[in-house]
Amino acid sequence: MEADADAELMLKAAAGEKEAFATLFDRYQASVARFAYRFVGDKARAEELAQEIFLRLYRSAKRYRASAKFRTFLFRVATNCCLNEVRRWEYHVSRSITEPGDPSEIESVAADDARPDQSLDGLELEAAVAAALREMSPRERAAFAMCRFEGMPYREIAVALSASESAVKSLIHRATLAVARRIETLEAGAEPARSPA
Amino acid sequence: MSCIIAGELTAYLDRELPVFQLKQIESHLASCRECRSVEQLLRRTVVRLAELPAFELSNASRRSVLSRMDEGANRAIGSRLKALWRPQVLFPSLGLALAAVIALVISRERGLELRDARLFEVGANLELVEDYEVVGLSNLDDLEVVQHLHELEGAP
Repeated sequence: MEADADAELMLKAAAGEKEAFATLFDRYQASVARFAYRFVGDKARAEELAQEIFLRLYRSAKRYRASAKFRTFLFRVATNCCLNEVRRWEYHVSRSITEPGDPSEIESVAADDARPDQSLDGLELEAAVAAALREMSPRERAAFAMCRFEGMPYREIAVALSASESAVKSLIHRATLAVARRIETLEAGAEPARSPA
Repeated sequence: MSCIIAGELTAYLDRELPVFQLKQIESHLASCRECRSVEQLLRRTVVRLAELPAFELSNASRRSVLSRMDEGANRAIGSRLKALWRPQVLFPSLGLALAAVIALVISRERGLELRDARLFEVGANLELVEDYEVVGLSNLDDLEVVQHLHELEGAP
């Protein structure tokens, strides 16, 4: 069973087996990278953040107990790292507001990440989702990313976020609705009337 | 939207509700056009999210993590303590410790009068330690972040 195998690998990593950790890295790097990217909205920062998440995971391996699902433990570490990163970022942004900075820095995230093989539709969709994610609270963003991109059930997300399942349900609903409105705007090609929900 | 089930539509879509509630919502959707339209919008959104491109870490990232793991493993408690000897950490810590000792000495001399002041001092130090814990000290910038953390909390 995959989940048990992950727990076993993590226990081996805690005992100092680097090979075991490398296997976990290969198995989860795409998930962690995607989560970090959706959280910070910038590929370079996400790459650094994902590295930081794996290093934190490795350093906290001794705290891992096999009774906890590995993926939940991983996303708990990932969420904490991302929340810290957001706090640091907000701090630096708030400090630079008083100084003449580069106002286009945040807005140009989606455009900077554009790849030549991406269609205009894909780029617009990416930008719409990124814009909605930026406007969410960090916890909404975390819950949304775990649910929509990693397919995690609400119960698991609740454990990763140290929240109740009903709180997670609300976070995911608000976040999904916010993204839905952005996509609706995109599809309509104009500012839509406010959604009744 | 005024329908009481509106907030449940995403959980309905994700099949995260008990069966009886799923059935309740299904029958509500059959009769409520507004909820049906929101449910369809949410459903379309979930489908469209799958179109987003994947993002994976580069091989350089893999190499970096695996090599820094060694650093992490080799970094003994001694080297972590060494990091605390940096002036940016050492001087504020010594200052706080000194202030706590002075508060303790004075409160002993003045008896009950300064008991509150001492508690305030301890409280302030605890709060600072919590801030370090929240941000997680991994580089010098973090000290500055902690120093100004309360400005952020006050911001809208």
